[in-house]
Amino acid sequence: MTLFAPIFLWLFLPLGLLLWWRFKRSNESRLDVSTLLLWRKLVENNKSAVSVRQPMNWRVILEALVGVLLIVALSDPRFEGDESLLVLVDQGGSMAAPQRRAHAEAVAKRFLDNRQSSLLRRFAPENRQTASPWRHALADSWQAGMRVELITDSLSADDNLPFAMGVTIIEEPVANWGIVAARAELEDSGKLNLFVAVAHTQSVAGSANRLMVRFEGSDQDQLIHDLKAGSRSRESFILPIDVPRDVQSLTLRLEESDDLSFDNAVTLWRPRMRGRLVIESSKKNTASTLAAIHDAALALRLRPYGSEGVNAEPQDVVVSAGRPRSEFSAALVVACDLLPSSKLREPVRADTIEGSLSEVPGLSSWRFGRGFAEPLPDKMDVLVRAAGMPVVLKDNISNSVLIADDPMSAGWTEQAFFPLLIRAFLAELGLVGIQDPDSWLPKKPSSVFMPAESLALSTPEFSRPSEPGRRVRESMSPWLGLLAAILVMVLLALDLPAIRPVST
Amino acid sequence: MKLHVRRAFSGEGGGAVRARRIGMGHEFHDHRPYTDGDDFRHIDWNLFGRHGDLYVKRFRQETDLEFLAILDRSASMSLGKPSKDIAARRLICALASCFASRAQPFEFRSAEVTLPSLCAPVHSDADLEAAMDALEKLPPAAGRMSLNLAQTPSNKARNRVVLFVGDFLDAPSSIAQLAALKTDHCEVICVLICAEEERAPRVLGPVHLKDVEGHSTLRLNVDQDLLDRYIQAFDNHLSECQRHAAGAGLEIAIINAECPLDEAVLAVARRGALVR
Repeated sequence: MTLFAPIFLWLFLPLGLLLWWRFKRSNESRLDVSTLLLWRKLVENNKSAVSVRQPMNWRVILEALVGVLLIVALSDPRFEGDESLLVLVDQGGSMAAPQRRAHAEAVAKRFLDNRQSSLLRRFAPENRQTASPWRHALADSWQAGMRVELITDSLSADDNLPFAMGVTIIEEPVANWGIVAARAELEDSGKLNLFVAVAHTQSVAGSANRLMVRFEGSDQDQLIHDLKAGSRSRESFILPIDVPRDVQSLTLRLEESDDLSFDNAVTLWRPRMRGRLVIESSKKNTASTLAAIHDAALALRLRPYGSEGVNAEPQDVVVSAGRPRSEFSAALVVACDLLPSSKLREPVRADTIEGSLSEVPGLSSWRFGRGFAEPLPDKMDVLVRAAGMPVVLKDNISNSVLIADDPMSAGWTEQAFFPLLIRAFLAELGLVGIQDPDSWLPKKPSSVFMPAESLALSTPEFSRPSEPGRRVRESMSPWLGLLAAILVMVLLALDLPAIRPVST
Repeated sequence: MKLHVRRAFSGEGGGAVRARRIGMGHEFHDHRPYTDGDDFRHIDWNLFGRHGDLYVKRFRQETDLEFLAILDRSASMSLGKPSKDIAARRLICALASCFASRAQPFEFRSAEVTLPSLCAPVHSDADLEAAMDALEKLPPAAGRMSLNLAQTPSNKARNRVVLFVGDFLDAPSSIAQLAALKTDHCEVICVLICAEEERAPRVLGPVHLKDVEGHSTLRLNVDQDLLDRYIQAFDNHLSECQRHAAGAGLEIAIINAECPLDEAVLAVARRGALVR
């Protein structure tokens, strides 16, 4: 049996003290008397009263049992089964970097060597023609209570992975490509020679690695060249391609292998928003494109998330820049492909990608401290995150909180902790509005991302694999709570006295 | 309240309190027919003028009173809420307040062999406040009562109104000693103070009884039946005290520690026939 919230076991300490005091108090009364003569006379006539046999104090015993049951129920006990482990290895394009793939395999092997029965499933985020199988696998396994070990790179690691999931992040830089120059020369034979110069930067993470062409009048891209991450920062080549006669123009662009194209992403913007973003992504590299989306979003004061909730229609920046929202509705996953830009990489890697954020619809639930979720970072607790509402992170080191509308789109602002907590409670009670963060949270559109130094976390703590995955069954907490309730009713029904008199 | 005593005391103060006896005094009591040898000065000549018979006037005797309050300071007096000790101290303070205003000396002593003084005697209202302060600052009652009036210097308890306040746990012994004081021309008034919690303790189940004076203990399982019989036994104990006191010719007032002070004072004064 595994306790999923063992922090509640600390409650045994006050319970023990309470029961000790209760038992001590009810076990034997002490009474000072002016003289024992009268009592002795009575006792002489009634020998049985001298017996000091302790009567069974059922009330205290039942109270103790109720307390124990409640604490164990809060600890969320679950039984384990034999079938256990699902290991997901990211096979996406961003994992194409040789070091990453090798590293992932090594991690998986090391992980599996210590397990008895495991199911290794590879997933590729770019497979999104149908419902994304790997995310559904995550969702299914999460709902089944299975612990899932996910090995991926930072591009695919979501910030709200299920609690029972351990994430191993492969941290190897990958090149990101951009088109520097292109020129087309048509030969007499009808062949078109494309002169293309591309460049990549090691400081930008991403996986744009396919050069695509789209002819005028066509709605499909064709792959004409597969870029490989290499040591060179610039590369040029000539690509002979066949061009239909009636084509007057074509468009070249680099496409990421595991993300939606940016044209598609742009269409995901909601019409109700005040601007239509048109990103010519083929002219820019991934990071700058995404940064442009960010800037535009901030300029238009668009909210990165909608107010409908986690399972809303595709409408947010994250989705529009990366993956369709429909993929995540089941697993409550939010993708974070926006993050690995040159500016964001370090701070976000620590605080956002690796599961430190929790998405809480409409402030409906709270998480304090550790113990609820293993993947939470050691030094930072996520207090509140509502869909479309500010994220509130508590920094336990400086005892301050950091707020942002979204870690990818708004500035982080330090706020005093307790006033914010009170404010959040008032919001929970409905006394203040939570739908308008502008009214109570300062915005800093100019500073896009949180300061890394204030959120410096211990990365080894993150990257440590979680506990061995085991298939766990339904929580026993409801049954234990029911049993405790029955005992309370028995206590009330029997109305047992605190001290049960012994008949003499 | 008018102060009275049954017994006439010979004092040097000229008498301030009416005695029940007929004798030399200023307050007219009644007439009786003249007999030979009666003082002519007491013949009521007005009556003789109207009726032609000789009657002499009789007067109430007047006497001095000295009060001596003996307070049981044993540990058993510490029981109760308020404790019997505090109730006893309040009671004797109140009585002193009543009687000191009539210029009756009032002493406070502890029920020990030498009858040590608890505070300076009260002769007037001016002394009363200091006495009350001293009584208030007394340490809590502790130890065992060691009253032995037979060894007490005779001048400390003679020709007095003796007010003994205690819980009379050893009633026969205490009452016998106090009765002996009557032969020393004392008027003795006993006040038995009991606490509600010792008369009807609220305890059921296993209980560890501890004698606060003897420090002996007794472990019992107390059920309702045993408790009822204890209450009955305690009431019998009080009745026994009254019976013993009556047999020794003493008046005893039983006061509950929780009883309001005015009621307690009145009960003691009435029981001791100090007021009429």
